[in-house]
Amino acid sequence: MQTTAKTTFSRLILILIGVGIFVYYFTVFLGEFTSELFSPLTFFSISLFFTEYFRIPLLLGGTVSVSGGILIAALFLLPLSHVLILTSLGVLTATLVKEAKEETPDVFLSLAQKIIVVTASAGLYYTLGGKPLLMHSGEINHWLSSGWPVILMTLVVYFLIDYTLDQYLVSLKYKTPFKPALIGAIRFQSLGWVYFGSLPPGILGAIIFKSEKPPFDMIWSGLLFLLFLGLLQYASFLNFRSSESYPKMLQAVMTAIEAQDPLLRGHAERVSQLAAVTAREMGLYGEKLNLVTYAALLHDIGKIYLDEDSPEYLIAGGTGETSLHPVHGAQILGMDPYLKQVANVVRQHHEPYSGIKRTKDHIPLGARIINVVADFDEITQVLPFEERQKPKKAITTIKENQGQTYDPKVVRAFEKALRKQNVLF
Amino acid sequence: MTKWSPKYKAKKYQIYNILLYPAIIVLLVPMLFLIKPLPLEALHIILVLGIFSFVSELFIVSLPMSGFTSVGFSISFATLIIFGPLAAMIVELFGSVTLRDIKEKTPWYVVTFNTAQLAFSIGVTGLIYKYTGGVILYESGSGAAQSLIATNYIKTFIPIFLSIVTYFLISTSIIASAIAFDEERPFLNVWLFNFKWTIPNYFALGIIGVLLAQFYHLSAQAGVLVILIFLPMLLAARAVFLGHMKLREFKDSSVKVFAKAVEVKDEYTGGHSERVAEYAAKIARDKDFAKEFKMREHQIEALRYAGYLHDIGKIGIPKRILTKPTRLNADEYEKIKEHPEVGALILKHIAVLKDVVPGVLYHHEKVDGKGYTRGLLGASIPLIARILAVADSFDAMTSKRPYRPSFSRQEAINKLFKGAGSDYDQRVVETLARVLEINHSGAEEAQKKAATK
Repeated sequence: MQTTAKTTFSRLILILIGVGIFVYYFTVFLGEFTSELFSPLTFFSISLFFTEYFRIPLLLGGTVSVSGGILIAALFLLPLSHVLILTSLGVLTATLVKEAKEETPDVFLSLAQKIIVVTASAGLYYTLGGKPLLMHSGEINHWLSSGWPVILMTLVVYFLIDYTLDQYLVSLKYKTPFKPALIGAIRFQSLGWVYFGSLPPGILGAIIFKSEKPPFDMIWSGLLFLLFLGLLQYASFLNFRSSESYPKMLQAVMTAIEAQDPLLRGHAERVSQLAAVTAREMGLYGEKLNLVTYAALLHDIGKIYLDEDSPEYLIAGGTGETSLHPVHGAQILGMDPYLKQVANVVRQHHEPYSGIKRTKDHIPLGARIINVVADFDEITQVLPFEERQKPKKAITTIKENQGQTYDPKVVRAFEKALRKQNVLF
Repeated sequence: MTKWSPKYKAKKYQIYNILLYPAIIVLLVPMLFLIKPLPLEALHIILVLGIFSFVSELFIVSLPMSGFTSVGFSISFATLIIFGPLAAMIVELFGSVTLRDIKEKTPWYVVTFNTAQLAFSIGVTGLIYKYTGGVILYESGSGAAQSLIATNYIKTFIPIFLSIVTYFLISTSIIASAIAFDEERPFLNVWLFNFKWTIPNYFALGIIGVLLAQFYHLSAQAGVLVILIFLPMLLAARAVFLGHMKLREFKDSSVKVFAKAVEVKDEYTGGHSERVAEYAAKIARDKDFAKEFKMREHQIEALRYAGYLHDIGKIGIPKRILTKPTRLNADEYEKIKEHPEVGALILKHIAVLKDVVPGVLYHHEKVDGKGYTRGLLGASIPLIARILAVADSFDAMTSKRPYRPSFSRQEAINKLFKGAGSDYDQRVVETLARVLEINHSGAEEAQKKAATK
């Protein structure tokens, strides 16, 4: 309960700040507006709409937009009040159109985030002596050669605030720890560099807009942003294609295996989901998180090697050292260099925590997580109906065995994760 | 910039050097005497662009068959627009030898091949750009007044478009012909497979080059900011190259793992799917067969993958049926017959393996319509399924089964010929016999049979 209250509170604060800034500058805007700024205002609003609407999906979850470049260009060109107006127009329409299509993003939250970021970096730009280029006559060469430290600092500050807020909102939304996300998103995402990389093309956008006459200013900078957006969208599409082919195939194969027994149906997928939330709770991210998810999906793949009549085929939990399917599974997966680590996790997923030959450090964390999670799913969903237990009871059963079969740390994280998912209580 | 690295290293490729270098000298004549040559006062900027080009070649991405590509084209193209053809050639040369060549000890004739190929491509491109009326910014005087697009943008874009097309076609064709020469594949197959997918990216690189030129023109004093601004654009283009190649890698390794996973279930079939894939590819690559059916490289690839995966549906069949040493009863046989269907179901969900599905689904069809799973007849069975059926049967016959010993290759071919025209496609069987260099005693018999029909 406490976490939800905290979440609502921080959301509210963010939105209030955003709305406050917006209302203040709206009055300024009404005073400052001249008709010659109408066309850049429209152009940037529309560009912003496109970049926000076609956000680039990232491989390990989340999206990144290249709207940073457009806001940077606008920020160098137009007075702050105008930038805020176009930000609101672009972001609001994009999120509203999107909302009509799919599940709701927080409309005002993302808008408030952008308003705060833009105001802060514009504030810095003005304090350091920068001026909105379209309002002041001057040479573009001079702006670049004497002003480049200011430009650079504005970019860096924009990036820092935007990125931090972004990750904070993500951690609020998905109820995951904040710190690992902060490092993980940029380091382990294949397109993570876009968080910063989307900004510098904005400088070019500003230069083009300042030097070219209409309508060439819009044609050129439109081309620039469109090209950048298109390339990134395409790259992201390709990344998804390749990364989804594996899990989808694995999933299909597991379904084929499970199809032979109605009780097993869906086990692999559920275990993989539970393992993912537990791993997130324990602060795993990026590749490591993927590793656990894959291994959890595949932990029983070795069963294709077994006779369907063998007792191990249906229920493996508790058989401990006598079970063979982890070894077979590791054999199959070990053939692929990409899956070597997954194979290692799969091999040890029934290894008891207090194993005689091994110390706990030799069992990979992934294997320890799957050990707990797979057994939980077995107790609650796979066993014949009469023997099944309610989640709450199942957790108690698992807790009785922690220290021997299960790693207490994992059990604790798992319980916490379940509670956040509202599975318990 | 796209470069070649041959699979089989032989000195015969020097023929390209002998042809290309004189051609470059011919190109140099108009560049030196007809067009205003190198602007000496801007030499330092060309040098910087050259270094930029060199650095971009450090981040190469390998191509599907052989060779590499990079985002370097945008830099030499920008140079062409700013300073003209000769400067572009110089910048291109900066990127022609990379650290990788030194590390991997690329033979000298390959290095000279790549250098010549790049210089020739950008040289021709430069002349085409110049003589179709392209603006060379440095000549037309600096200052924002005279900019690339503001004059007449249709007139500006035609040379740009033509130049990108020229560069791409020349460079990739030379390399494709070298690969075709090297690996004995049809030229068009090589070109389509290795280079066709890079077309959109080359256009993107060209436009980035135009933007770079325009940027230089608008603000020559930008200094380090140039790199900061264009690096993300180039990285994005590179991400597209990388994404494509990663997709291929993932496909390849996942296919192989799943082929092995099925084999684990039935120890009698160890290595079966790999051999089927090989036989099938050999049939498709046979010269006469290729002449008749014209299979493209990506179709051959789908065929190979289908070979690896044709039995993946057996994952859903209980082990006791698969490994039963005695004859199967009707029920069990029905169960076995489901495997193409199950296999197709598994693969259908995977977008990258869509082409493989027909091969898997129909590999037990017979040309007389008496096969399963759909009872298709003759040519209505997809070609890759017909090839797979022969390759699959041949390997099954030549390996041991729980209920029988293995046949010799000769016996297997004879048996296939017996079934040609009823179970198997006649031409596929003939091709298999030819590529394995096995004389078939049953050939006349089969021909007679075909004649009487």
